[in-house]
Order: sequence, then C-alpha cells, then structure tokens
Amino acid sequence: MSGNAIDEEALGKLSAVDWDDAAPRLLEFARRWAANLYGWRSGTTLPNGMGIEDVVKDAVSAFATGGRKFNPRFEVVIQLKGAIRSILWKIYRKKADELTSTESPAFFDMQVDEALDPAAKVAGDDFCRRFIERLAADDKIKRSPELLGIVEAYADGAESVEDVAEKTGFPVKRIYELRRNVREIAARVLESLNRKETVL
Amino acid sequence: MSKNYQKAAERLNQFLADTEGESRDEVTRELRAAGVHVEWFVADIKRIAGVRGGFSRVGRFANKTREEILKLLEECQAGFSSGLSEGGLAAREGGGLDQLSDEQLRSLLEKLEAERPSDSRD
Repeated sequence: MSGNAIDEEALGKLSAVDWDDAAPRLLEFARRWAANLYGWRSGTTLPNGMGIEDVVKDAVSAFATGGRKFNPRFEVVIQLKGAIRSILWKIYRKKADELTSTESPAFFDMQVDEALDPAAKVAGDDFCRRFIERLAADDKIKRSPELLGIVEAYADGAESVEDVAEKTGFPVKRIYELRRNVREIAARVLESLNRKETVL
Repeated sequence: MSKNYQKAAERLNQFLADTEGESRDEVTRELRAAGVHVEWFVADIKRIAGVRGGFSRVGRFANKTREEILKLLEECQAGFSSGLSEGGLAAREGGGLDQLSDEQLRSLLEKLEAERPSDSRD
C-alpha cells in the first residue's frame, strides 16, 4: 500500500493554497454545514467525539497523505469542501445507523445520491422536495420577495449565486447579505422536518 | 415539470454554508466569537498541508537538495539498529540510490522516518 507515498502533485497543490484565508473559511463552512444539515451545535463535539476542527484537518490530511487524490478538473478548496461534507455525512450516517465504531471515518464514500439504493434515493428526493417546499412556504420567506426569490431560484435550478442574480435580478452583494437570514430559516425548517436520515 | 429537488437542496445548502462574499475578517470574527483559536487552527492546517505520511518532516524535505537528502538518508539508516546498507535501501525502491529521482529519494526518506524508532521513546 502506498498510503504514505509522497504525492508531489498534492503537496504542490496544497502548498499553493493561501491557508490564512482558506483555513478559516473551510472551518466556517464545516461549522455551517454541520449545523444546518445535522443540527450540530457550536461548542459541542460531533457524535463520534471529534471536534469540528478535526473534520477540516482530516479533510486536508486525506489529500496530503494521498488517501484522496485531487481531481485536476476542480479547484482544491472546492474538493476540500467536498471532503468535509463526506466526512460529516459519514459521521452522522454512522450515528443514524447506531454504529459504535471509533475508527476514523472512512473518507470520501460516495455522496448519498450515488450511494443509496433506489428506495432510499426516492426517500431522499422526497425529503429534499419537502424541504424546498416548506422553506418557500415559511412565513418569513413568503413575506420577503428577496428571500423567496433566492429560494425559488435554487428550486428552479440555479447552480450559483451568479445564476440566482440572473434569475432574480438581485445584485450578488445583496444575495450574500441575505444569506444569513435564509440560513437561519432553513436550519429551522430542516429541524422541523424531523428527518431520520440525513440526505445530503 | 420535474424539478431535481435533491440538487436544488444541495446547491442551496452549499450556498448557505459558503463564506464567499464575506471578508476574511468577518469569517475570522465569527469563528473567534464561537471560541475558535483561529491562529492555532490555521497553524495546524498549514502543518498538515505541508507534510505527509503521518505528519512527518516532509515539508522540510521538500526544500532539500539531492545531496542533503542523501545525507539525511545516511543518517536515517544509521538510526536503525539493523543498519540498512545503501544496497538495502536502494533495493526497497528497485534500484541504486544514484538512479533514484529526487522525488523517490524524498519518498524513501519519509518511509524511513516513519519506520525509525522515535528518539523520545528509545
């Protein structure tokens, strides 16, 4: 096994990252993702006892040690975010499955849309539909044309903030300003869905 | 009309978790407010990103010249009680040390570093 083999390409890519900027952003991404999707609370550990910082460290480490290979088609930070999501999904999936293994989470399992069997995928699709619909129907969202516009833009297939801006006519800066509002409402809606299994 | 709700939910959540559009100061401030020691965290990440193989000294090796790596390899093999010969070292990589690339030498050095008994333990 070449788990410890030097991966010059990975080292080069990781060395080129501005970590003073990227590291805090990745951590904040992990915190928000865990909080929004899994109900993680700041100041607490994850179900397997890891700290949220450890998730980011493990994601970087997985690439640095060659456990995960960079895909040249995507930016490094984008791939690190994907790794963070995978690790969190794995941790919470384990919790959902009531597994007690204390081993490190297996990295980079396929995301749920690829990994689930057809029945589970349908359940996942249904959950996401209910999430989007309930979010759009939330009082605070409904009362704000801007918030509703953002939610509807994503429901209609927007892939980026630029897409949302194009679909809604809102300036990108304004969309970013409204993000926290949407995030807080989305977290509440997700919580209210009382999901048994995380679907993202 | 068939919407892909799973993709929509994923992209929306991606947007909600992202920090794009926020300054580094804003992000850092938010983390500090949550009790994160940002400087320590960044230092840890830099250390991890600069090393491989169980966080050894690869970051340092990356800047070493070929001659320096060869010298470190000599020192490293001397640290083994069994005393690996140069031939033994080279055999591990399938050729003489002279025929190994700088990258292969660094890789070999890293492997030896990982295998060498810890100074603090022995």
